[in-house]
Amino acid sequence: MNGFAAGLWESLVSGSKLIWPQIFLTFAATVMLWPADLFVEKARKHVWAPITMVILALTGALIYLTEPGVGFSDMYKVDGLTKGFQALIVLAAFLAVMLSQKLLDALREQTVEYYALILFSLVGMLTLVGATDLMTVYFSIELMAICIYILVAYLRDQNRGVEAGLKYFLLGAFSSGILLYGMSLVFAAVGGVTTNLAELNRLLPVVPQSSSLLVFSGVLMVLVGLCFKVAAVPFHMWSPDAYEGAPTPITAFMATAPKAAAMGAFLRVFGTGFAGVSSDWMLPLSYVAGASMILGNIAAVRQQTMKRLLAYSSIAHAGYMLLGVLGKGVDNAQAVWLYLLTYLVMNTGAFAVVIILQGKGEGERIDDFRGLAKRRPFLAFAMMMFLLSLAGIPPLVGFFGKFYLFKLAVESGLTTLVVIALVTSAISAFYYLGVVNQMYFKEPADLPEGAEPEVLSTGMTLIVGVTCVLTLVGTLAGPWLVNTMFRITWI
Amino acid sequence: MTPLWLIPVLPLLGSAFNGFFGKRAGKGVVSAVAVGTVALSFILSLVAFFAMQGAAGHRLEATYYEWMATGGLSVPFGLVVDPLSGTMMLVITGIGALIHLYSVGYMHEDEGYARFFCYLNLFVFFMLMLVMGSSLPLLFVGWEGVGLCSYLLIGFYFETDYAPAAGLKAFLFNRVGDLGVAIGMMALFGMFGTLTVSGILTQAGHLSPEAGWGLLTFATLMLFVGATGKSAQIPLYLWLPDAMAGPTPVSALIHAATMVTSGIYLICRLAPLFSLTPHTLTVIAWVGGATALFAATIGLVQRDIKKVLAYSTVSQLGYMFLGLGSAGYAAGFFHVFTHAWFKALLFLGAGSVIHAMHHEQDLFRMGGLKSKLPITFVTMLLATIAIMGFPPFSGFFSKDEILYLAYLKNPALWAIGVLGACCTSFYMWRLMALAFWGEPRDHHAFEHAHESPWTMTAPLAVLAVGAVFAGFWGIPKAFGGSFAIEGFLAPALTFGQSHGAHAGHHEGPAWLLAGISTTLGIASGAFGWWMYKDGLAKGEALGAKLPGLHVVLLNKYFVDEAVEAYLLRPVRWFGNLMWKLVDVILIDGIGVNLPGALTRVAGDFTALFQTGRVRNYALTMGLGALLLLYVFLK
Repeated sequence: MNGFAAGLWESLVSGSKLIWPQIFLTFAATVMLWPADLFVEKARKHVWAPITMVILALTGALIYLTEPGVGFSDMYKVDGLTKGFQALIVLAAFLAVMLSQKLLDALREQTVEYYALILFSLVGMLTLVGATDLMTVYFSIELMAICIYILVAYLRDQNRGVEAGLKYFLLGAFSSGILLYGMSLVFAAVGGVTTNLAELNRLLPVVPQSSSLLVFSGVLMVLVGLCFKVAAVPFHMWSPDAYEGAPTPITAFMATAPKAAAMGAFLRVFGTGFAGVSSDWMLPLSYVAGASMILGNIAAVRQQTMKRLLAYSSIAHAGYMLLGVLGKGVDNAQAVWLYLLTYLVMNTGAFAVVIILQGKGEGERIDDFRGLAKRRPFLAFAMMMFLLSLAGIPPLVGFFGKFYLFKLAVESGLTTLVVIALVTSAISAFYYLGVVNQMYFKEPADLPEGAEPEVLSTGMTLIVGVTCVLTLVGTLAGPWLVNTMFRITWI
Repeated sequence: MTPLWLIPVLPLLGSAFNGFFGKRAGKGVVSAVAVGTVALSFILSLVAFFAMQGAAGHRLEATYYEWMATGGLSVPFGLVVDPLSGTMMLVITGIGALIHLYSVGYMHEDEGYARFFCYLNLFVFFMLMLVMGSSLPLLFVGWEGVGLCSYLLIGFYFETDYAPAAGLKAFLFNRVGDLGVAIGMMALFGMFGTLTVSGILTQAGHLSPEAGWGLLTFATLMLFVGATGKSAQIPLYLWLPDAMAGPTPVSALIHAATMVTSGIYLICRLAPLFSLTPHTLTVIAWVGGATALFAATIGLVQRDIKKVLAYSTVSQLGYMFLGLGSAGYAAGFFHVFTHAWFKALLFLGAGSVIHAMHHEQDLFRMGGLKSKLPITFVTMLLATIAIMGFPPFSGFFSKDEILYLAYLKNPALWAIGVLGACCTSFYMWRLMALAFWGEPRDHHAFEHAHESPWTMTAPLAVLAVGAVFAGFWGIPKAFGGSFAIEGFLAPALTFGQSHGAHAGHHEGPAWLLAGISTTLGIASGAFGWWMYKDGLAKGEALGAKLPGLHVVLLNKYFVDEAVEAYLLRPVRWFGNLMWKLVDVILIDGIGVNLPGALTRVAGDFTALFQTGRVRNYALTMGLGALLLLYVFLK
């Protein structure tokens, strides 16, 4: 008994080296909530945004410094994939916080909880991308999700936000049930000996014929659970409502960070744990990917508000990214990572423009973009670049991400899906250019009396400017990014 | 050694400055920059010109870098000064500078002052590239560039209806010709594997003349098609009369003195090549002769002073081609040189008249201006005597040399040329009589008429000196001269090869021919002056006696109408068909809008499922999972 306790201690100490970023985040967020917040006057709560940004920067440094390794009885692993996706997630959070500060000021909704919840959700995400055990996967998904439910409903005076949060929570609970049930079926199929992904990979292909339905149903349910998190069709229905109801910076955050985390989990669980039984999930997942591209892009065509449009567009982008999971290679995983990075840049830029224009938190209608080029030429130009980049038009950075992903997918033999992806990309240009049309070829709408002021600050200008420049010239850094920055390797 | 690149680059800088800052800089600065850069270019051209005469083989060449290199094609970016391009450079920058100076006065009250000089300087740049380029592609850049500037300047008064249309017409006609140049260049590349002028000519030196209709004849004919476009020869001459819609200095510089002669320049540049293709030369001679007479007859009855001069230019360009086609490259080019002086002078004089008459261009509303515009009158008179070919004015020597060579080639060509010269003499004296003699027919305008400012009259005077004396550079051998210009141009025209320009060694009745043409010219000139010196009555009476001929000439042989009916209308009809059927219905409708509409319908359909109710969402998820299960188990 003493030996076990000592072994446990040993494992905790050695494992803790791997999770310094998470430990630091937890500690920092806790101190922020109590006691630090006691000393911040109500009128000065906005100081939490820069503090959070500093914490995130330090977390980024810790991620960089963490040595690769395996810990906690093979339940968690730090490798290129972990570090690459963790960096993405922290960057997304950093940008979301930057987007939040001025808007929350305008809404008079600055609280420490908002920032602390972002940090706590981050702990879940950072753990998720390093999870090498179904149990780690599950609890980190829950940690991430619960924080985000609350953030969606953060503006508790607004019915729409509360409704969205509640819907998301109910459906999220439903999907968690499916996920957990699927995991238990997989656990049962291998005889109840392990939930470790590497072990599963070894055992699953050799389960007896009688248990094969068990394996298949289990894998399928895990797939459904993860598809819910990336908002893939037909498990996407929560996302337009949640995206619309959430405070816009949280929408931007949800479209990137949790999506990156879930994609990392997808790559890890299906690329390692279920790789041996890929014949079980390849077909369903390719249906999901194709359906996401088609439905996401088609439904976006008729949207009236910018946030819903971007929500459907993010469903379609999830479909594209699933190509990388289906491709099942290290290169494909890199392509997904790269795609997420480009998506983060242009998506954040687009949301920043929406936030600047939307005043005090009312949903921004696409009609409101009418004649923006005349009123705010720079903003309109930047928005046009983000939209064209989202549509994948060369030489913008979005094209580069798509090109790399699609090219590898073709090499992996996913020709049919790539054809669907290309056709639906063309459809996506239709609605993205619809907004450009509003901005450049329509007369400006008469601004109503007492129109809300723009949410403009140095930070917002900086975000729009930097993301716009990156969108324009990011392609130049492409080969460097691909070759040297992150060699995402694992297994 | 002079940095050759500075010569074209200076006007380019001037153009850029006036284009970007001209509006803010004010007219004084704009004028100084525009005139100054061209004048500096002229000085540098002079330096280069004399340096060239001292250089080995009378040739300066500077290669700056490899411009294009793909496959077997390698084109250096290089500039050349030899007797041919050197003379052109002096004409372009010298007469160009004078016309820039003239424009300072002429355009003074125009809104687009800076824009005008931006275009005009740009034109000088491209024209210099055309003549200085050491390779055909570089020449073609200039060729296209002057076409662009011509288009911009013809359409300069873009608020009017006719100017942009005239610009477009010029551009389209030139495009047809440009295609010829491009095809010719490709053919030459196919034959010689190089596109530098020296490379082609060196290899051409090893070939013997082509007896039949071979590839070389095809290539040279294609180049000649390009020349007919740029130099307004039949059948691509229609644009030049319309080009008079541009400001008068533009007509003088671009549409009389320089750009329109680039077709002749192109043929002279590749003279050894054309010498190898006798069939092409024959075609050139006949096209040139026909144009010379044809355009001159139209000029007989025109009322617009600039239109008369425009047809005169077409006609004179025809003479130049007649000379080239008779293997008299030096003679043709000599006429380019003399024509540049007297035709620029005539246009600027006409501009001075128009300026004085408050933008009145109708000869029938002028009259009696002799006393009001003395300087304009005298200088224009000198130019008229020069163009009619009265010895020893400049036009006499150059035109007579051409007619003499034409006679040696085919006496019929000579007859056509003499007939054209008679018409020339007639319409020029008619123009002078209508404008300067007789009673004023528009008293209001007459009373306000006044001599132009010095910026306009000074260029007239300088050009007049040239119009009188330029001919002495090439007194034909038949008249005891040495035809100095031929010896001067020889290094460029023969490119050090034995065959080439060797015309003029045959014997012919030179004195007799010159006597006939000069006598007839003087007679028809006197007749034209007598007809119109007292007003319109006698001319109208003559027109009434020959109604058919008068109507045909007045309507320019109805060529524009024929082109409209048999070429443009079918093309427009076909274009309309393609637009309405193929583009609107097939591509826009079925190809684009139909999928768009279907997508929208599909989008609306998906919205039906987004009910906003959690139970429906959960149901969708459950059904989706079951569907996936079914898909797999099926």
